[in-house]
Formats: sequence, structure tokens, C-alpha cells
Amino acid sequence: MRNYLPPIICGVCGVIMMLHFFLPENTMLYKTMMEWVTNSTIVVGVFGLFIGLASLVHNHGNRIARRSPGWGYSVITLSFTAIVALTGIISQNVGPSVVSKPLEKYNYDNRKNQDHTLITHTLFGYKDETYKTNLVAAASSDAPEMKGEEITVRKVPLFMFFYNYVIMPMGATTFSLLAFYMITATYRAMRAKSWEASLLLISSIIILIGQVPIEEIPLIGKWIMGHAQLIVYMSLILYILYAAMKQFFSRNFITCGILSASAALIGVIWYYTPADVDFEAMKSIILNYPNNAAKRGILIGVQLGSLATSIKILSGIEKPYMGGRG
Amino acid sequence: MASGSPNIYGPKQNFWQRHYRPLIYLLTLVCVVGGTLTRLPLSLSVSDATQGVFDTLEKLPELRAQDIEKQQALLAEKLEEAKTNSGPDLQKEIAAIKDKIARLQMNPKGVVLVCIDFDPSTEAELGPMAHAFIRHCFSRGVKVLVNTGGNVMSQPLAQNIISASATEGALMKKNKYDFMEDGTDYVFFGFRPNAFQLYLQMGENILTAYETDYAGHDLTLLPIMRGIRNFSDIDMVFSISGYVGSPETWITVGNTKFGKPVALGQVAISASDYYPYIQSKQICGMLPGLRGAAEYEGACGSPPRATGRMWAQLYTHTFAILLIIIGNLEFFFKGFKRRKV
Repeated sequence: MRNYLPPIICGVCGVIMMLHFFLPENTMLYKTMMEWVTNSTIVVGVFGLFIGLASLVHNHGNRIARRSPGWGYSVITLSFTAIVALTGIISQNVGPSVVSKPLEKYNYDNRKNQDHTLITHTLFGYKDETYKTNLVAAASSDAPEMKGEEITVRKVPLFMFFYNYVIMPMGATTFSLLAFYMITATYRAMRAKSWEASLLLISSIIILIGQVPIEEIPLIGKWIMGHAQLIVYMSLILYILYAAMKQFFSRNFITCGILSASAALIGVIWYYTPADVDFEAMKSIILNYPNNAAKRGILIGVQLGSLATSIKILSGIEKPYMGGRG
Repeated sequence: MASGSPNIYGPKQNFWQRHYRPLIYLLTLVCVVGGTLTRLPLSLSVSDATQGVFDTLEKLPELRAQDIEKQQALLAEKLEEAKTNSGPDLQKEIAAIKDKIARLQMNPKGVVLVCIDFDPSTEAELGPMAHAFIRHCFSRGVKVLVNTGGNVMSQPLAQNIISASATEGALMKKNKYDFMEDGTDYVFFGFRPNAFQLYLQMGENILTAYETDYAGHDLTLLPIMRGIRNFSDIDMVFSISGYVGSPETWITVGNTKFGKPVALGQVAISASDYYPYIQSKQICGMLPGLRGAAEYEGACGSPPRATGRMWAQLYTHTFAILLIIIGNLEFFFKGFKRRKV
């Protein structure tokens, strides 16, 4: 039974999920099925949450019990899991007050002819540029009491306080470290070691320049933008001629001839390129043609692969949900 | 020299070769800080992908008017048919069409569903585009429905963005708008597990998919929901996502199944994955990364949240290009010796 029941459940659910794409939408069967499936997935999702939590507690609990290397981190993980869960459960009225300042007080709800006080709050004082701080609005009758220039906003819910002032900065900081690694990687890895690497290099430079308004760089920005074609085509031609010269000295005259002809062909393409093609236009060409062609091929391949895998799972040939057993 | 990774220069090293990594980190920091502190205006041309999103939103009232006209023509046809055949099925159909017309007329400027599906790690790129798009909706009188699809951590972020956008209207230089009220001008549904199923259920009936909003209010009691029942009452979907798979779900459900215009907001690194969908017209446009957000801000006159951050991106990209050039010059001058990287 343990081997047969899960594939049957999986197959039936899979067929139901497929059916809704073929059933007419206004039928009672469709509506009932959709409601049942939605409710079921919510229940399964909640169970998944509990399983995830149990797994987290089990794994980190074991590390703490065995005093495995780095067990202190497990203590921190479990403590903060409990703390964040608690902050979400306790009352919305519990939380710290933050110092704030009223920005403007005016009637800006014309439909109801109602005054609102626009106030900002941050952890360390306030900023006048509201779009950089947490902005809240309160009806004037509910606005907090003024104490000199500063006011105290009503309590910020503890969960939102944690989210805004702990989770947000930490998440952003961790991800922003990528920028530093990527910059050193560009220096170490992006070198014209081969013909393919050179193509990648030139495309990436075009995309990098096309993604920013390079003309705003003082002194050289406007020149770079005005000579986009010269920079790109001349880099390509010089590189190909350099490769041709190497082939010539290695006495590979046919390869040398092919490369020289390629350089001439690029020169012809340059001649016929419209004058208004700048880095942004080149970026669009790369993204819309070579990129699309490659992506479309990958997408079709991936979809055919997932179709085959889905059929195998639904028909019970593959059972990843049983850990590959059965 | 930072430890833990192989040295690319071998045993004989000069100062740069010994310390290039911390020096690059330091200069990157200077670029980011310098860019963040730069307060100059920035002119950006608007790409076709961004323009597609902007134009679709601008045309929503027109689309809705066309939809109402279509339904009225269908109603007239059915009423004509009812003169010769007064069966119960036909009467039900007529009632359904009348109901549909009434719902469409409740929101003549249109209704947009915004799916905010990112966490703090990608907020720097995606937050500004969410702000700019929602503000654009409010300034045009479009009703906004907000949900989160793939990650429960997006919920508080979405709540921050929607409530800030609702109050910021009066501070905008262009396209000012009144204070937007929760439950009347916008609603935030929050998170439910299994996005694909959820979106399908929303296509059938939003009230059974969510039942309450994020704050726990019964959806049936909210004024905004009087004119919105399912996807047929929504004119456009805008999915802002930092996760793999989320936009594909919207393309499959929102566009392929329910035929609604879908627009995407993507981090720059994933944006190239979705250009094929623009060409095949499965999405009406896309905001690619911070640049897309800055272009959109320029197009709709929002406060320069993303445009301000573009300076940091400009300096850092320029620095990266310089490093590539320096690295390659170094490579060429030293000849094609094989090195371990």
C-alpha cells in the first residue's frame, strides 16, 4: 500500500490539474474543482510550513546537542526563528515608538475635503526627502501630539519594526556583497584568451555601457557615446587583425586569409551601419536577436524536458516524492 | 592579499599584484558612495520595453470603454434573441452580461493587479519600479490590487510600498493625486501558498481565492471589490519579481489562459530571459532592472528614487569597464602565457 497509494494520489491530482485547462470555465464542475484544488494547496502549503519548521528545529537542535562546529550559529538561528514568529503573533499595538516630524499639513484629499498630516519616521531621526524614509499619513484628528518640532508616532508594530530595521538592511547588505565579487571577477576572468572569449567580452562591454547613461561621465562620456561605432568596430577589427598576424607568423596562411577577410567584412558592415546606432541601440540588437534566439532554443528544450519528466512522474515511472524508492 | 583564493600572478608580485583585490573593493566602495551622494539630474532615453508598460497603462480607460461597448453589443444581441426565445438559460445569460457591464462601469479608468514578489535583497532594483508604477496607476485613477506570489517575506515590503505610494501623491511635482484609501482605491491581498493554483482561482473568483485582505478585512465588504470579481474585471497584470519562475506563472495564467496584458519588472540580471516574451507579444513590456525603473520614473514624472541610484550604477559600470580594459592590456603585454585563474 505504501508503494501504490502515493503514485495514485500524484497521478489523480496531476490529471485534475491538467483538466482545468480543457474544461469550459463557466461549468459547475470547473468551479468546484478549482475551489477544491485551491483549498487543498493551502492546506498542503501550511503542512509544508510545519515540516520546514520541524526540519529546521531538528537539524539545528542536533547540532546544538552534539556541540558540532559552529553550533553557536544554530543557537542564533533557532532563537531568531522563535523571536520573529513571536513578533508576528503578538498584538499590533506592542512596539517601539520612533521619533518623527510632521512634513506638511494640508488638505489633500479633495474628494472627502479631509486634512491629513504627512509624517515621516526613521530609526535615527528624520529626513526631509520623504521618498527616502518611511512615510505615513494620519488624518489630522488622529495626528500625534507635537513636542517642539518633533513628534512621537504611535507605536510601530514590533514585526514591522524588525522587518524594516533588521531584516531589510541585512538582506540588502548580504546581496550587495555580490557587487564587490563581480567587479573583481570582471578584472580576473574577462580576458580575450580566445575568439569566443573575445566575443563575450565585447558583448558584455556593450551591455555594460548600454545599461547606463555613459554620456553623463565628465570629460569622456560624450566622446564615448558619440564614437560608439568607432570603438566597437575598431576593437573587433584590430583584434581580428592581431589574430590574423599570429596565424601569418605561424605559417597558417589559409586561416590568416579567412581572418583578414572577416576583418574586411566587419569594415563593410560598419560602412552600412546607420549613423544613429549607439551603445543603447547595440544593446537592444544583442538582447533582441542573438539573446532571443539562444533563449528561445533553451526554453523549448527545457519545456520538452519538463514535459517528459512530468509524464514520467504522473505515470509513476519516476517517484521523486518517495525519495526515489518504490 | 585577501586569502582563500588562488593568486593569478605567480610568485613574483608587485604592489598592485599583491593588493589588487582590496584596492578594487575600496575603489568599488568609492564609486558606490560617490554615486549615492551625487545629486545631479540624469537624462535617460526610454526603451521600447519600458514604453510598452507605460503605454498599456495609459490606454486602460480606452480598453475598458471598448470592453463595455463589446458587452453592450452582446447584450443587445441577446435581448433581440430573447424576443423570440425566452428560455431560463438565456435570461441567466442576459443577467450575467448586465452584471458584467455594471461591474465594468464601476471602474471606468481600469483595474490593475500588481504582484510584488521580491524580498529586501532585490529591493534596491525592484522597489523603485513598484513605487513608480503604483504611483502612475494612482495618478491616472486606476484601481490597484496588490498581492504577493512566491515568498511570504514580500508581504511587509509590499505593505510598505503600497501605503507609501498611497500617501505620496500630494508630494509629486507632476501627476499629483489625492490621498488613496485602503479598501476603496487599492487593496492588498497578502500572501497565499502555491501561486499557480492561486492565480487560476483568482481567474475564477478572487473572493474565494483570498476571502480577506492583508489586514484581515472581509473582501466582500470593501468598496473596491464591488466592481471586481475575477480576471475578467482586471485590465492588466504587472508582475515585479526577483524570483525565478514567478513571471512565467503570470505569463501562463494571466496572458495565455485569461488573455490579459501582462507586464514584467525584473532585476537586470534576469531581464534577458524575458525578451523572447516581448517579441512573441506574450508580455506588453518590461522594466529591466534599475535602468527600467529610472526610465519609468522619467516617463511618468515620479520622484527620482531609481534615477538617484543610477549614478552609483553609472560609476560602478564605468569602473568595471576600466578594469576589463586594464586586465586585457596587462594580458596582451605579457603575451599569451597560460595562467591559472
